[in-house]
Amino acid sequence: MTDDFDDDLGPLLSGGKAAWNRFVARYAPVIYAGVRRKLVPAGRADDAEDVAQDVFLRLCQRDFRLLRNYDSARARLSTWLTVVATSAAIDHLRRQKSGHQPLESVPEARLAVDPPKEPVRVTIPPGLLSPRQALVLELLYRREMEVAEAAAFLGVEAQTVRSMHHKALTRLRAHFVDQDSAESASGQGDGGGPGHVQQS
Amino acid sequence: MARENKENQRDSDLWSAARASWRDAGGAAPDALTLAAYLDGRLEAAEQARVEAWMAGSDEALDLMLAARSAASEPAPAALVARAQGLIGGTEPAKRRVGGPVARLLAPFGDWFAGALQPAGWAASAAALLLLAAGSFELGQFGTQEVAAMQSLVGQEIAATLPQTSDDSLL
Repeated sequence: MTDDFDDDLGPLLSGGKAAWNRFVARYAPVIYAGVRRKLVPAGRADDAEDVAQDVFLRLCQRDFRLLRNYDSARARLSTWLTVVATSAAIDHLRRQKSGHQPLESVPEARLAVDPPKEPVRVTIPPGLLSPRQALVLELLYRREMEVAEAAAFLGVEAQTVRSMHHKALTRLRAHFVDQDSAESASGQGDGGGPGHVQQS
Repeated sequence: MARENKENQRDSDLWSAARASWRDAGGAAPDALTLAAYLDGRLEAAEQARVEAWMAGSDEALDLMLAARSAASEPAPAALVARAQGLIGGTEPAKRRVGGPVARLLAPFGDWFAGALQPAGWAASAAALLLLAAGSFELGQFGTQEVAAMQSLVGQEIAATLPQTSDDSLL
């Protein structure tokens, strides 16, 4: 897909009505989709039009200040608008979440307090994992993505993701084995940390 | 199969424990243009690593990028398009400049004057101005007589309310 406005935003930024109309007609589907991508799963599909309208308002207000930030040498206009729209939808959901909700309207089950659960928290030294290795682990374990999905997101081959996954785990395991060994030798370890899990 | 699942769970637990380090070191959010450049595959290695570190350390950041990556264009409601197009009004800036010095002089009073004084509208404008001048003349005559009568009445009322003094006492 080509971005009609990528190379020349001049007529639009000079306030031309016809250029603005063309811009809206061309990119409303992009902005609307970016907004809906976040709002629909959150059950706020009805807000999509208003949030999309707000994105257009932000683009043109103060003499197109936001739109002037765009640089076609760095990214495609449609990609940038998608990021802006998705970000606006996240902001909208955050505002809705932090807004006032009458206590009596909250289902009882949601008010129940879980017993405090202390998360296991360990520190790994900087440089043990590369950002991409950490991201691969995040995508595969916490987001439960398939290798192919993670590869598509990162724009690499599935085999590359497998390889990064393997290397990342090897490093993590080795680090915790070393850490547990050191603690055992000094009599400090209780054997219940993540490293212990990896030794079994 | 069960053994594989167990191992997978152990690895998952291991990452859950270790990811706190990434959450702490995630850093500030890159700007929208940098994120778009990442999605387009146009970043240098160092900048790419910074975005990936940010994503690995923040649920919201990764949510944003996953959503942006997967958002496909979809038809927008006509009402949205009409409302958004209405955010910018008026005529084209280029057209506003047409019309010569008189049109530019009248531009602050609205686009109607500027448009009316374009070459094609000279005849109609002249006729309108003639009518306007004639009307103003009549209005001026009538207005002068009315104002004089009003001034006379008001003057009489003020004089009646003032105490009787000599001009010297006001000095």
